[in-house]
Amino acid sequence: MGPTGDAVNVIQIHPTLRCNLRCQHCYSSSSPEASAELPVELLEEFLSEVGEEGFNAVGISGGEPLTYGPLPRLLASARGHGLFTSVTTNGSLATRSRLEAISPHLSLLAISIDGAEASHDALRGAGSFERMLRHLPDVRVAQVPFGFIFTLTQNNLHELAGAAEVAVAQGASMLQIHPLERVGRAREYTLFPPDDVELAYAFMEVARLQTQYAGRLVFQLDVADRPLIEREPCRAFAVPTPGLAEIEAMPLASLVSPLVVQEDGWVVPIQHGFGNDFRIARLGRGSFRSQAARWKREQYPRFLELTRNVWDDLRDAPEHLPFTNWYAAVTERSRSQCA
Amino acid sequence: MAAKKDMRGSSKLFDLAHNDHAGFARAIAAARQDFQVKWWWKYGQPKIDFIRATLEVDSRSLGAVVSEVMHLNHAGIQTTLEAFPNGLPNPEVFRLELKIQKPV
Repeated sequence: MGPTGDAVNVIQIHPTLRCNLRCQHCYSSSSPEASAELPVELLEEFLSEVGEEGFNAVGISGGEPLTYGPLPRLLASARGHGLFTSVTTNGSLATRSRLEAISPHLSLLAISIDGAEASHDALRGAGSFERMLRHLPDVRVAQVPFGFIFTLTQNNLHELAGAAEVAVAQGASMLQIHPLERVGRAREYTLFPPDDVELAYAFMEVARLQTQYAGRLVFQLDVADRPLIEREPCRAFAVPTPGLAEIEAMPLASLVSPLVVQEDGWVVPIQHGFGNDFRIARLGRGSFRSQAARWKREQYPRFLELTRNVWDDLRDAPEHLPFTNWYAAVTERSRSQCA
Repeated sequence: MAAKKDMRGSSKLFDLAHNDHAGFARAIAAARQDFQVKWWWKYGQPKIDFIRATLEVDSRSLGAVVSEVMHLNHAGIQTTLEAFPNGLPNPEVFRLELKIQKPV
């Protein structure tokens, strides 16, 4: 159940908020000054339990994951537990030696690109586009499948075609288009998330590009499709609350996915910065599974009430605007409900 | 980055006015022939099409892992798996080459 389906149940880990860049749109407000990081031993212990709860994929984000010293050890641990692995990086630190250390344990490397060089550098700092491009030959040598991620704003859809051109030229296998969320540092700048009108235009543009690059590049647009949720409400957790016995019997991944491990050790549903009242567990405070069991009993009904309310708000949009940013809507609502 | 909310990126691409509701409905219906959203993911997380992995599992875990991976086939995706034993004649570790993709 949930927006990413039943086949791949994902846990996104933010082991550190340290980053060599200070991007204007960073949802986790990462920066070179951020020093907090999670001990790898805690994460390894956590990973040893998540399979039993039905999770089978781990995405490492941050901060910049390549600044996290134990990253190869963390990825190896995930692989050792049979989990798929991905790393999200700004690409500017993807040196050959770092790639050699992680590539044996990696299913996919996701590299950020925010349009043409001028736009990318305006968001991420001067020279960051060039530094990212410079390391792509090493990515190809490492034979790691890789893709690009484009952050869609209200103002930059016209640069998506250029990003696709770069992706194809560089041998990427996918281009993910993710709407900007006005959280973290993005709130401090004049950056606008795409509204539902712009998301509709984005859908048309992605369809055009998918046709143009058929067989060479696969596009992924992270928007919720209202008619689809209407048909299959479980995709947005817009379902009645099951009985307690049924909840307790199900693995956590069947109830909520994705999960996020924040740099402060809290495990939360759906998104970094999700409302504190919905936190599931904290690493280092005993078994994850026992904390998850308590969350299922005590908090899951409230979580479903939240997601049903979000869907009630979203479903009344005009028919000609079928797409919306569900992650932003549910996260904002979760935060507003907290004391 | 100086920007205004009304400076739509789409305004440089489309003639279709954003208050043309019927035009929008037609254009989206046409676009759905070429592209569909089935799942929506988080930043940096790939949809299932791109999963390729090499797993190393010990012989005791092999059955459970293979069973779990093959279970993915029920979710509208194709899973192929090749197992290579390490340590013949008594393999202790199996290397599993796994590729998962949506059927074309």
